[in-house]
Amino acid sequence: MKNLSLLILIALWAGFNSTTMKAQKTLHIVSKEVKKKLSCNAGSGISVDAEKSNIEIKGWDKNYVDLKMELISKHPKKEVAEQEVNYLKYDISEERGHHSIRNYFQNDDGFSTVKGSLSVKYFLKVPYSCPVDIIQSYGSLSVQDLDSDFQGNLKFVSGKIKNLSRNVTLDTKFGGVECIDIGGVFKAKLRKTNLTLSRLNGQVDIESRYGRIDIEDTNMDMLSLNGDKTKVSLFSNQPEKFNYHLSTTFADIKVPDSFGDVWEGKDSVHYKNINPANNALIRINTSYQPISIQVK
Amino acid sequence: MEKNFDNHLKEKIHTSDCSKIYTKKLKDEIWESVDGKNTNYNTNFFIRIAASILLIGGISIFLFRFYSEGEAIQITYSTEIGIDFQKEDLITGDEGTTFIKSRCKQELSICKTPEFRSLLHELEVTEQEIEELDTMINNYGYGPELVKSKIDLENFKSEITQKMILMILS
Repeated sequence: MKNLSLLILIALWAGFNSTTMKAQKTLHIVSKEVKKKLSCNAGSGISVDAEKSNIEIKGWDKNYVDLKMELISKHPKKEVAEQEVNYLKYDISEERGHHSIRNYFQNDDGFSTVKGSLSVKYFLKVPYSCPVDIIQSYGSLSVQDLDSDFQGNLKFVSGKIKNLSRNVTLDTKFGGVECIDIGGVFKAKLRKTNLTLSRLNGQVDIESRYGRIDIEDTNMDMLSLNGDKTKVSLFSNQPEKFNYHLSTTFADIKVPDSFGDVWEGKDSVHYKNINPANNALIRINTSYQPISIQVK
Repeated sequence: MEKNFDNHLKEKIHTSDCSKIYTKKLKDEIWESVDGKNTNYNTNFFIRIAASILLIGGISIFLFRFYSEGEAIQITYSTEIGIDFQKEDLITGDEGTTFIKSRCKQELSICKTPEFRSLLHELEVTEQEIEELDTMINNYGYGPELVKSKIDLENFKSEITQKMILMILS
């Protein structure tokens, strides 16, 4: 009996010490905060090239960019956190009125790995008319209230883009992006990305490989979606206000009952409705994944 | 008598050397006084120039700092309760990829189909992404975002690998 109790105790101890049990620890945080003001107008612009970062961009009515950047190092030992915050480097440069901001990693010896966790946070307030260009890998992005063009080249980024009255161009890999209230042309090249579009008012042109695209409450002029292994769903309270040209292979197309029949071939399925001719055209082409048009 | 004496004295004064000395001295004083005024005028002028330079310099420094050099850096220390992610959290394997490559070396016809080639391309791109992500983890540590990305990539890779193996075995 005593041996059994001892065995149980040893098993419990081993269980608590296994790598699958994650113990909470006190982590020391060393944060280096950089603040700077940069001039910006419609003729110039701002570029951010960021990795392992969270970025927040908001438009405002001032004529300069207010930049706040936090370089953060975390580790159970304060001295390690203090040492490793110095591996987080940044550049702020200007060429012909265009500002570039970048963060990157650089350690002393060039090959050893970090012991703690490093990250960067950006907070940018930019003039409404200041064009913004982001290259970002690993992290999150929030952009809102701009009256200028926006471009994003994103990898493993969870993003929200809201209330942009001009053109939006995205190139994303392995991420999730939500776009709401976009006034201009929306153009996207997506790979393994889940995209949600709400209240779009311009032309929409999307190329997508793997992933899912949901379109809601839209007032688009035109949609051209060329997908490969991409699931596409359109939710609208008035789906009949559009014309449709839909096709997929090895999957289904679902439309409201009032829309009529879907044409089913051997491997492919099509739906076409181009009446009346002046309705905005929704052209969706994908493979291995379904297309659905639903009344909201 | 008294009037004659005064007239005589005036005449003597005007004709004597003493009068010349007095007149010269008076003129020098007047000129010195004028020069003195000129000197004061120059001093004020230079003070004004210096003040203008200082003012312009001050404004320039302010604008320069405001638009380009106004970089403020502050370091803060704090603590939080959290998880210290360790290296052993992630286990990866390449058995599937090795199997696919070894079978396709035998020149199977399925390996030459467009669908298989498309998946192979996807697999190669994903493996490249995994390599890049491993570098990021080495640089930035095992934070939850990178760990999640690594899991997503490994899952995607295994999904592609599984499809390719099924195609080979079918």
